Amino acid sequence: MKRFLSLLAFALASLIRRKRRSLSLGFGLLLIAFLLSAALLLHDSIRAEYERLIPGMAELSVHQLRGGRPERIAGDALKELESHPGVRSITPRVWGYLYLPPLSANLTVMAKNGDPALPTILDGTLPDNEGELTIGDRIAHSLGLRPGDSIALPGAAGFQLFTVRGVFTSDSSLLAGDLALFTEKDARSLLGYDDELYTDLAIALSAPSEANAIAARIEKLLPGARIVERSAIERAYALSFGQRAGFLAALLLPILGSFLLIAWDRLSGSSDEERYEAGVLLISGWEFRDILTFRILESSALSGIAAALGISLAYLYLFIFDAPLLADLLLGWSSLHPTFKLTPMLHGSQLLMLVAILVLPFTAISILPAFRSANVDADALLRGGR
Amino acid sequence: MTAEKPKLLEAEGIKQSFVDGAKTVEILHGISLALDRGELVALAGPSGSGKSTLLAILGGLLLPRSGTVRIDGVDMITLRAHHLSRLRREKIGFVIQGLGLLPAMTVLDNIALPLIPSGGAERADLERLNTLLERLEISKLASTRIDKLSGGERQRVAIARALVLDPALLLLDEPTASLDKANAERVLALLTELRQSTSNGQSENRPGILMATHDPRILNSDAVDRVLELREGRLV
Repeated sequence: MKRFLSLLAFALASLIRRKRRSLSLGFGLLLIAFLLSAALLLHDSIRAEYERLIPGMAELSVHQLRGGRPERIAGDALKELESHPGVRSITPRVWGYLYLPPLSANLTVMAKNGDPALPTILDGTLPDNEGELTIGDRIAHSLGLRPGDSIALPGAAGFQLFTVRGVFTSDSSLLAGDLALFTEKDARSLLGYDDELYTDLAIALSAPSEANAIAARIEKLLPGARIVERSAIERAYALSFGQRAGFLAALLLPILGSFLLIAWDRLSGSSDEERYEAGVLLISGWEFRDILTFRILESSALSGIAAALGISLAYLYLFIFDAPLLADLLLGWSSLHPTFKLTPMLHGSQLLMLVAILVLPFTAISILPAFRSANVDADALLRGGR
Repeated sequence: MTAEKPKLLEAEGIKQSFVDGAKTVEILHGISLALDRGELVALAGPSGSGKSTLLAILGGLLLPRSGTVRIDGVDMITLRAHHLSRLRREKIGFVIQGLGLLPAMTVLDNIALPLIPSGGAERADLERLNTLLERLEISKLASTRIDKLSGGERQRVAIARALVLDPALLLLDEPTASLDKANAERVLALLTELRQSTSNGQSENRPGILMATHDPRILNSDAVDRVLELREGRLV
């Protein structure tokens, strides 16, 4: 252990001695570490968002279509399905979007209907009476609203005044960020819905494996209805985020490849100095394995420091500065929604994977040059070589 | 009856050659020599006579084509690489012609280089380091970078580094080649002092010193016990 620590200290001192080379290589490594970390953390963060959403979704949701366009649906349209043994409940839902000019963004208006997927309340309560609402934290933050404040919203029949009863929070910004919850009467009024008509029907199943059979029954009862299965949404999300991650990987791989080539070139190109140094160390009583260990530690330390800085910068970039540029490229988040805030997450497994991607290849690629420089012809040095 | 103590260094029948294109060039033609503790021996000869190659072989840095080299009775040629490295480290100090110092490092860091693989300088090592620095009159330069030193000062740093592990055998290649008269005399005085005393004061542990040189100031000095002359790969 003493030997290892002593060689590590010498390797770190050697990096400092060769500032210019260390900085140029380190900067390249830092850049690649930052890009890879940002991509991985962003991908995992989005994935975590939708994985949180999935369990709260209805197994089936049914929309009425007319001429290929969504149409409001009667609350009792599937009444005879309620007695089906596979169906636990059918909940008619009122929801829609309301454009807010001050934010240039859409608000998701939803009627309070006991949805189990509702996020946790941060501050205040749910709306109990007409003229009250509970809103998502991003909207509240954007408009500077707190419980007790009032807001006028542009409904179907003109502006309506509401009092904020509470502010939602959730681990998931996707779920809570742009949400506004009202009494059913207020939601209908804002969206211009007639009584007894709903946006869709959410069907909870006692046996999710029955989803296909029940969907087939619904098709017979409501010809032309669109039935969305939770598993289909799950697949669509996975595919969508998988594609984006794949797109990013396709962009990053050539960068990584180029960088490794540069690293190889630099490591090989500086061999004169390294061979001289190795000769000096050999004549100073170092063994071949000491020189090899020192060189590998030097590469590992350089890539390790760059990886640590790159991962830290990526974390700040994503979760503190909201990932400018990359978010537009990867999130595909509509500008009609209010700002989307990623939920910070960093696990040990992610760190391990990043270290494996960033430190191991660089260290591995430096082994051959290290081996070459350690395997020096000390006789040549003795005979007056540099 | 007691066994005779082996000589510090014994070389027999050392032959070496190198391949130059299609032909093989013989550099050393069966060199045999011996060195005892406390001896200061000069290896003389013109440039290209094979002095540096012989030093590299005696120091375990180069394998000869044939012959044996024994340090304290241990045959270096037959040792495995790891054991040879250890023997070199424990028994031999080298001062090469180009000095082999790392210019961006300080005097102290250069001298302490041999201590790093064993875990760095411990208290006893630090004491020895300080003694060496004082003895070689470079204490005040300890934190100076090598590239700020004069030729004579660099030479002393290289010697200090070779001595830091208290070697039994000190090999020096042209130690005065680039020095002025005053500095050359200083180095010679230092080597004379070295072979007369040891760090622990025990005479049986005095180092044996072999230096390759063609400097007449050394070859004609009384401090040198013997001069071995190497011409065209043969001792004459």
